[in-house]
Amino acid sequence: MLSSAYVPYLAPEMLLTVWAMLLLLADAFLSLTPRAMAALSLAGILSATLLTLGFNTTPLLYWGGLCSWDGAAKFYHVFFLAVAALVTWMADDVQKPVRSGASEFIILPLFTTAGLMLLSSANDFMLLFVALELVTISFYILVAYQRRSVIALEAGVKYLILGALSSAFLVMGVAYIFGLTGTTLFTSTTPGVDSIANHFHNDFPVGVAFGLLLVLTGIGFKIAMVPFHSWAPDVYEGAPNSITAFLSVGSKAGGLIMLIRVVLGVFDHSTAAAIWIPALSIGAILSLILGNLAAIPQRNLKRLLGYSSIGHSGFILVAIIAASATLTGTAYTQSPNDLTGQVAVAAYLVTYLLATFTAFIVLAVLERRLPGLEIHHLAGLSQRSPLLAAAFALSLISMAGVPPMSGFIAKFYVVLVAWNKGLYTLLGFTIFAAVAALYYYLGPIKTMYWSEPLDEAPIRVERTTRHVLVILMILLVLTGFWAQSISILVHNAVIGKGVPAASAVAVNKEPRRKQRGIADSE
Amino acid sequence: MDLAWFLLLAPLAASIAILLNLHRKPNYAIGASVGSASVCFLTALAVATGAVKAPTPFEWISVPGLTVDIGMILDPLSKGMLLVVTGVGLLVHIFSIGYMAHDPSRGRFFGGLSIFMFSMTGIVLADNLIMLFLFWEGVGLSSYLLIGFWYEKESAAQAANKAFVCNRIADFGFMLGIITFWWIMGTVSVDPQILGQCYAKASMPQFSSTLQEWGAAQTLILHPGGISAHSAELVTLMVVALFCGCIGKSAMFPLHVWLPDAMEGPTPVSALIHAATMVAAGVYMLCRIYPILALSQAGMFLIACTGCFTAIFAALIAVQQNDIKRILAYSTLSQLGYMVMAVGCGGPDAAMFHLTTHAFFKALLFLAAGSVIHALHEEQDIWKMGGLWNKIPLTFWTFAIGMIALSGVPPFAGFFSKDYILTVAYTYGHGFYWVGVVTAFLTAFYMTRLVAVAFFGPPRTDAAKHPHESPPVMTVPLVILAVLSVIGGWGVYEFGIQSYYHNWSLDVLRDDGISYQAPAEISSAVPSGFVFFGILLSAFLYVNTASDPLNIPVLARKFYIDEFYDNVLVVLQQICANIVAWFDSWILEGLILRGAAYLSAGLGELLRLFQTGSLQTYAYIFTLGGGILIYITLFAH
Repeated sequence: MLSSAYVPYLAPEMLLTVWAMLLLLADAFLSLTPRAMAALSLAGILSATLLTLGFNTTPLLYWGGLCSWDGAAKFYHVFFLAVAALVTWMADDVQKPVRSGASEFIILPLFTTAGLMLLSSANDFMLLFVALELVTISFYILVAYQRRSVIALEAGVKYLILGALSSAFLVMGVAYIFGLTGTTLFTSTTPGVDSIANHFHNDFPVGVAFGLLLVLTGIGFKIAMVPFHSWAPDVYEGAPNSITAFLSVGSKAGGLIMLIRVVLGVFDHSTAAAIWIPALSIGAILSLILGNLAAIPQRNLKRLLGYSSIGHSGFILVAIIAASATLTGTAYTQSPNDLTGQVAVAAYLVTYLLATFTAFIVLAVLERRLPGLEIHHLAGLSQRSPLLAAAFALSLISMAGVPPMSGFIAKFYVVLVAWNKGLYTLLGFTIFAAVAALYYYLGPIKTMYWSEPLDEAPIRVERTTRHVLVILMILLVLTGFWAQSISILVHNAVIGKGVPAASAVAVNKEPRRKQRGIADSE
Repeated sequence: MDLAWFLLLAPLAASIAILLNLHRKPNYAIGASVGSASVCFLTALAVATGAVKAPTPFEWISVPGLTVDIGMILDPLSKGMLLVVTGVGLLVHIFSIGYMAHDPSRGRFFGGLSIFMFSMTGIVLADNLIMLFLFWEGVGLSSYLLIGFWYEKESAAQAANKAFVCNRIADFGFMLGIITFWWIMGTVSVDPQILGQCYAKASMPQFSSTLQEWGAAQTLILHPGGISAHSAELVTLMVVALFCGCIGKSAMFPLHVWLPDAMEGPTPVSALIHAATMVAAGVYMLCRIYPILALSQAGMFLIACTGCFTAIFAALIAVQQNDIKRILAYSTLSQLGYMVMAVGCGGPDAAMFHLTTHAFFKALLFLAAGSVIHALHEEQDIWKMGGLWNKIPLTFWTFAIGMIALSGVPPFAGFFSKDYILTVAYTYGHGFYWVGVVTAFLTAFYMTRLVAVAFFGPPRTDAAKHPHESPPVMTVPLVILAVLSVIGGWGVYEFGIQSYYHNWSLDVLRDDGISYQAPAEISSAVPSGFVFFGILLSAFLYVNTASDPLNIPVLARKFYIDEFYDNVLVVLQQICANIVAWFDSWILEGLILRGAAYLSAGLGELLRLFQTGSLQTYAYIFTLGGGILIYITLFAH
């Protein structure tokens, strides 16, 4: 099974990394314009995408067992590449002011993407950590890229220090798990835990539980789960728009696939679930409440989206909890059309990608005139640029989850899987949060359409930007209107019975201990 | 790909192209729109002859318990309706080329027409109620856009709003109906076979017994489709709610008020949307789900009464109107009332028959009226016309044919369908029959009045002295429609509509004793007599008069319905506004928002305090949070 014959699966990451290094060299010796650099970078992303799309989704381990390939890995690979393409395009085309040493700003996302892709197929805690650091370190630079801006520097420092702190938690957690089970491979962790459990009256070993919770803390930072969210609003505000979108979609999706691999792949048996389900439930509820309520008084649009992003993490966490195989409930038959928590997560991420990039492209266009964009700056935008106003409104409506936008389908899936698994408490908070969120999403729309503009001058949007926005808008409406399209996209990818480790986990001989915690209080 | 998809794709593509780019280039927009309408009509012909089959539906929404397809039903019912919609639609498109030739924003107009064609064919073809509802909203949208086409005119903008609001109110009921339908039947399909099964299932004895326990209802919420535990009341409720959709779209009393105002739109729109096709969508929908309606006797009675009342009510108002388009609009209301009455009386085939013939002559009348208005430079008051008959002969003769067909003079199209409806009504209840006959009399009366005043007598204004006949692009559609209005009654029923209801398991529905053989004691002579009497009386009164010899304010003011609504609405609006304002300022603003705002503002302040560089606090929160999380999960239980 562990044969080098499977190395081709590593090719997209290798291609991106090597390509990025070549581009760095080229930048040193040739004088390439940022536009040419972006084009070359996009070419690299495109070839990596084509390469990835060519792989089938049969689950297997490769690279000596360090990595696992499956439907989920393929889906997230493509997802990250799509994000990278949008980020690269935005960096060059939309935000012209970020020009000092522009090539690094365009090349670094390639490294980040390679790291994210590696994350999505990691089968080993050490590889997970290394990939994560590749992602995080390149983000440190990208966040603080506008180094003349005080806010950007502050954001960079905060992200750096808190990121380092979270990495420490993560690595400590990994150390605990390794120390007790003697392995860092996901696939052998579960049997390792089982064998210790046999020594301790079939109880889940506290040391491993401690380690697991520390790992969750580290991941919680990446996905901006409360209480590890405090960096998000500041960093969102300070980072350039393309990077904020990258953080908000790419980095968050990276954290989520990590979480899925760890909790659903390694620790999805009843005793371990009794540890992580309550912990994640608390995180989900806090994120739902704080993210959505704290967004209400925000005036700065990027901070508002920062808090909203915290809230979205809460929604996705609910779906991840509902994906646990340990929860029974009215599970539907194992047909290919199963709606599982993992499908809901993937669907949510796709819709979130569309809405977030639409929003940040609009903000990027506007910020070229008005740095530090606040809600009142949007007044009368519908008259100054109907396209920007419509795009921003559609993305906000989609994030709010109003039918028939694509965000509605995502939230609907989350509610449905939570309902099927009987997670009624979480469901209550989910619905409360969704309703509360309407308020702050509709505020900017009202300002755009029903307030008199402060400045009548029309805003010109360039041709490419216009086209990208129109395409994103069409996708936002289309995926919502034809709900099946998301399922088709996501199903093949995620249902491909991901996470090979999960099959090993299923056999858990101990008598079922009564689970506790919020998740099953009903 | 299945060719039948062109029915939807062609107009959709045209409307998108016009929306995105072509509205600035009117000639290209016209090309795209008329081209797509032609493609539609040709495809419809291919479909009607059976050359093109229904495509495989594709899954649109699939969640556990509910699957909605985008698919097509191609049976005689939809084929007939499809031919009417695309055929009349194409003619109106062509007519509009001439009628709108001088309007600078005609690109937008044709875009609206294409949206309409897309939505309307969608309604006709829909194989389930959800899809139908979606396109239902689509025609609502296009109707709104086209009524308000001249949005700079205050009255047009208001009429568009009125139409939209009335339809929203009705659609809310329709939506409830669809949900109840799904709840009871466990499906949203309108496939005739499935509906037949539903009918058979629902007719079983235990179905009509009253609801035994609410517990059964509770389980039904989770497991829809458990048809056996429903009460007759619930079914009646469903039928009435579904009928609400028709009340809005087909402008039945009491929501009829939007249709006359909708005449603010360009005349081709009135012809296509507000006379021939869209307003008939309500009737088509009723015919489509007829087996479900037939489950509830009470519901059917309500439908019959509503239709019957609307028929005579609108005919009475039409007698005293002076605007050429408004007269036709009230006439449309009245004829729609006829059709709805036919459905309620148990004759969906009669309703579809009348729908088809009515589409021909009413589109003809509107287009001819448009030609008159065009000839007189936007003059719509019939008392400012006169003596037109020999100046614009083609328009006059086609209009006259339309008027005769509408009045129901044998052997024109309207005679057959109207006679059939009256027969059906007679077997259902004699009262309905006599109201129908009186309505026929009134119809003949006001149509003759319209022709007599507008086309005969001396010209009453300067414009009427020098009218100019419309160009061929406008008159050719008139002639085609006129021919159809003459011969439309002869073959349509036998070849199209009848076969539908006979192929289908409607025998089940007919064992309640309703027979479609005309009873011996009535004959076509009675209504025809009334019609001739109406024509003669009206001609006697109105030929060569300078002003209206009749003066009935209550009819002229449309029974004061608008005034009633306006006043009641003002009061209601005040009350609602006060309640909402109170709720907003005390509950929403005070309790929820302020509370949430204080909570979040507090949190925000907390964060803001440390924003100036005290990163330690972030780290502190982070670590403390991690600690507390670990403590709660591991030790606090």
